[in-house]
Amino acid sequence: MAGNITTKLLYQGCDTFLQAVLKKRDKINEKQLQFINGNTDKGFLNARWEKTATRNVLKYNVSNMTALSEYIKQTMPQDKYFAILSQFQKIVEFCMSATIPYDNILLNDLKNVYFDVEKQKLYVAYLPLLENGYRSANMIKFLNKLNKNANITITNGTVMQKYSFFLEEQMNAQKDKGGFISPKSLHTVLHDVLMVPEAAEQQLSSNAAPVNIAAAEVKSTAPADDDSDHTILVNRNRNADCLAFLKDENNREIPITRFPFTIGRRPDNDLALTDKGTVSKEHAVITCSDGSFYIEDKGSANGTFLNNCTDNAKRISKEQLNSGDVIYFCDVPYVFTVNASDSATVIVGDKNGAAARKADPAMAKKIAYLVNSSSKERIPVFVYPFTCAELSGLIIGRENNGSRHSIFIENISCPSLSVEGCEVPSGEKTSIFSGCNFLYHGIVYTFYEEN
Amino acid sequence: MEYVFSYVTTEGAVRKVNQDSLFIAEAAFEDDKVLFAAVCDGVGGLSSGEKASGFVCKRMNEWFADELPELLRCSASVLKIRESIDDRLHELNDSINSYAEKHASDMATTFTGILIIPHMNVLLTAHVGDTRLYKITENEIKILTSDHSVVGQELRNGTITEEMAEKDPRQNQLTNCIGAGLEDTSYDYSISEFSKGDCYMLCSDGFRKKVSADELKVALCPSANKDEKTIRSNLEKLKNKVIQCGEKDNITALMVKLC
Repeated sequence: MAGNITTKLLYQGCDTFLQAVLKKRDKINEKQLQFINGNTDKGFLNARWEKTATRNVLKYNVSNMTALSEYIKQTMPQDKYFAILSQFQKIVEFCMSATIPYDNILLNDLKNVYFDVEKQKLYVAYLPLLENGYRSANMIKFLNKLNKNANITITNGTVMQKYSFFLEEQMNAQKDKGGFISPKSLHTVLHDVLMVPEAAEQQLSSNAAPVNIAAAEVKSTAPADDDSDHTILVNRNRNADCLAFLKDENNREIPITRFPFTIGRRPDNDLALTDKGTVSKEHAVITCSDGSFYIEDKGSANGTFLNNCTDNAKRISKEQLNSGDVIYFCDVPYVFTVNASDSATVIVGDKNGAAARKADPAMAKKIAYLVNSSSKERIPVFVYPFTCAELSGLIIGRENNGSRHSIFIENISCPSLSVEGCEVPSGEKTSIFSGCNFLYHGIVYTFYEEN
Repeated sequence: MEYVFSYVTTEGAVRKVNQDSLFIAEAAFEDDKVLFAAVCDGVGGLSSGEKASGFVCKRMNEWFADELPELLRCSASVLKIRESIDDRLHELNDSINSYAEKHASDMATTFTGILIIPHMNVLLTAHVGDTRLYKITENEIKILTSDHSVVGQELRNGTITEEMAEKDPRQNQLTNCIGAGLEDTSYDYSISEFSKGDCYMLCSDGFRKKVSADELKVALCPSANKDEKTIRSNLEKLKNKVIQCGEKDNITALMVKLC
């Protein structure tokens, strides 16, 4: 009985999880689970199996990663796109060679595949099941969707065209084969026909090495490799040791490793916002004394603001920081978060990992939230513009339109979005307010502003 | 949907003028009735406050008579309707400001209004200032608006507690309103659910400061307000009580019951 598996994104503590809800009768294959968790460096998301009285779920830790559906929206050069494809091909090839069913890779939606921007690495969610009753691995559909949605700067039109032909051909030829493309034929197409360099091999092995080495390597190559997507390097291991970190709009964490921690446009700052014109060269500094954190403005041109960026907000000179505060370096928001491991209030979950952890303090300062009408789950909105993987393809932001401020919802690349019964075509936006319902991929979400 | 409604308004025990204004308008559309009601609390010396609040009420009532029918006829979405209200309120803001500038006076008003369109299943609230909208059901009383006042803001920020808020001397300081020279404002809008039997009460700050939420709930719950007469007498009783408790401000309240 084929059916789609339902997934959703969860925020627990400081981590983000992709949760796949399984049917009660699904049986887990312990061996496979161990196997994929042992081979995360090959591109599998770390999975955790949770059995509760009412349901069975698989939780994949996707902290610090971006859903592929989001990632491909930013313009990327063609070779990068093919590098992602060849990483995908490697994962499928690995499944074949390890004789675990590639059918169990969760490919029903681009938003279930994740990309680690820091490591430039693709991760898939694998369902370690004894018997897979889900429609999960229509590979050709997946590749097609990827091809359709990706925003690629084409440098070699012939190659792109050939690849499109290949997809089309596969689509027509394989209608009754469940959409499977053998990794070998994909390999042939990518490397022999399209001449994509086999760079993935080397990258994979370097990522398997201890993290600090990998990070060093990424650091040196990142600026040359990709300056379009403004990557801030984050080493996750370091986060565990640092006292606090800043979270940017995309939930990327920047550890505060030393004090004073400087923020500014000049590249020698600890947090260098080199591409933000509104940020001063030396904008602000975060200090720590007697166990308290402080934010201090360094005489910036456009000011630093705390928890309020409206036009009548007050510039701050020096202010104590609490976990969850939103700092605006002029108009660039960062959420300041004290590292959970240092905070006594966090209750760590029991052995089954039941959700006993206290909510992220950042959530307490939310300014609005969305409610998914089918799962009743609340998605906090604590910074504008807001994006999340569950609602990929749309942005909720705030704008200043003449004399009015308003909240809007913008359709970036979502095939079906309507607000209060009005279609919002891709590329357009509409203003919303508390209580507004919108229909996203057939699910009703309601937007609420906090009073 | 049928509506039963009534109101009280008085300049109060001390003031000589009543700067509060209110209106209730009902209109038939297709087989159902649409309702628009609002309360404004004017601010400003001499007669400017009542001019501002009266002007806003008059012009919003005109919006209901002129613009809304057109919007409903072309089955505009609630987003369009809100936009139209928002345009109108900003236009009023500009005209009050330019009038005040010409006459060198301060003028401002709060505005809290509800628009109920049953066939669209929409209850839209538009709000600015410290007038309030309460929803009263048999079991609970809920405030659907947030006060745009210094005290309200500090209460939301958590710098003062509810007890402190009641005794705070800065009761009458607004952070947002229509007029007062404000050019950079936005007003609150929200859509909420409603059902038959619910009571909605709009009031100025004078009406609610001296009574507790529980007292309001007991007096204004749906079962105690069967018709226009009982609504009126309950509002009157509350008004008299408020005056006895020493309220000096203008007192205005408007209640609608859906049935």
